[in-house]
Amino acid sequence: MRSILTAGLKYFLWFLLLYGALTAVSLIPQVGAACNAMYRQPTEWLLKGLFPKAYLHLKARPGDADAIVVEYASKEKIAQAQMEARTSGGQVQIPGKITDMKFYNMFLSFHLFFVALMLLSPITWKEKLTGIVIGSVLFYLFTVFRISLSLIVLFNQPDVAIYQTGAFWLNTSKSILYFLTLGVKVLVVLLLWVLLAFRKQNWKELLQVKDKG
Amino acid sequence: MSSSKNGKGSPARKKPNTSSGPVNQLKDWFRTRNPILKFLLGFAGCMALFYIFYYSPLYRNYLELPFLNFQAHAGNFFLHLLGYDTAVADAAIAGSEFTVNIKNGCDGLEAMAIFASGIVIFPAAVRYKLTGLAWGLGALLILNFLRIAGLYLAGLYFSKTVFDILHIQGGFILFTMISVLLWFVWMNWSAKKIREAGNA
Repeated sequence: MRSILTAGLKYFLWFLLLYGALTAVSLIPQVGAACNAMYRQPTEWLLKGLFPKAYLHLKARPGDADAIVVEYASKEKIAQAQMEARTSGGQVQIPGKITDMKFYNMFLSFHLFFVALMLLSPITWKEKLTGIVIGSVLFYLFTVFRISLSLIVLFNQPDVAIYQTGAFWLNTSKSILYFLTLGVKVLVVLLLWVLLAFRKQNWKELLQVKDKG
Repeated sequence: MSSSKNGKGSPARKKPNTSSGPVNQLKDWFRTRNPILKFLLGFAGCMALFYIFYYSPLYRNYLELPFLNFQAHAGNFFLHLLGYDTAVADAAIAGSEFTVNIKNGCDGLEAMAIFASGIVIFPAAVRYKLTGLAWGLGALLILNFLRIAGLYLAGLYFSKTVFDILHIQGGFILFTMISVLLWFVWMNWSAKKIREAGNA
């Protein structure tokens, strides 16, 4: 029992060290800003594809690597404003709004958790790297899914009214969003880790069970 | 776990058959992961049951506040041991300069559910499962009391940024990792017991 505890504690200390180091690096403003930009660019492209009626722009807030500022407006209202400006000869007043997202809580902290778990898993380096790439893409898509749900809810608010989603789908989106807490993000990371890092054989090695063929 | 440092796999591990096209590759993928996929399904099922309970009106309306209040009292007890003059109001621990409010998600229940789900679906005798649940959940509960007291101290002595980092990274992720670690320790212990029983 003592040897198991020692091995477990050793693994946990390695995890603490690695996860702590990754988190510390991610908190360097330049690194955080670079990660933020890498996340924003494909996300903006995907969200624009998912919400064609909305003008969407994801921006960074200078000096705050944790913030993603979402600028949004109704394309229909923009077209109306442009038409009014053309007829009146005045300037275009775009009725845009912004909302904030927390990048670390949304993606980065949990992604680093996943990377640390994969790097410490008893698999080959090729498997680790493949697993990190696949898992990162899947976790990224999960976070984009979550953002999409929150945007559906936001775009259906009466004062925004970019979309008029049916009551069933709107309530479903709200319900799913209600469930997708930080705990569920941790759970998704754990499930991805088990799926990508565990095989029948290393599972048995972990439990010190002899393979009978 | 102990072989994680060098990153090399076991020499006994069978290489997947990659020479017979994508169908066989897919079959190999399922063959090597079959027990893992079964485990994942069982684990996800148990966690789904937990979340159904966790978000149910029964828990939200009748159990949540008493449980959070109990945790606040326990965290407060540790702070009193350290000489802090704090008081509990509902789910909050309040001092003269700082107040920490224990909310849904800070209760440690999700991490405990991960641990309990892992034990429930692992093929072991019920007596080993009960032993694991009692020790593991007890340990996680006490650790969560310490985490709550620690977060109060972090909020009292450090900036909001540090508090937020400790709250999410330090608290949430590490606490979950501890529950996973305890689960692995229990699996090893129960597997050893099963082997010993088989040899006797």
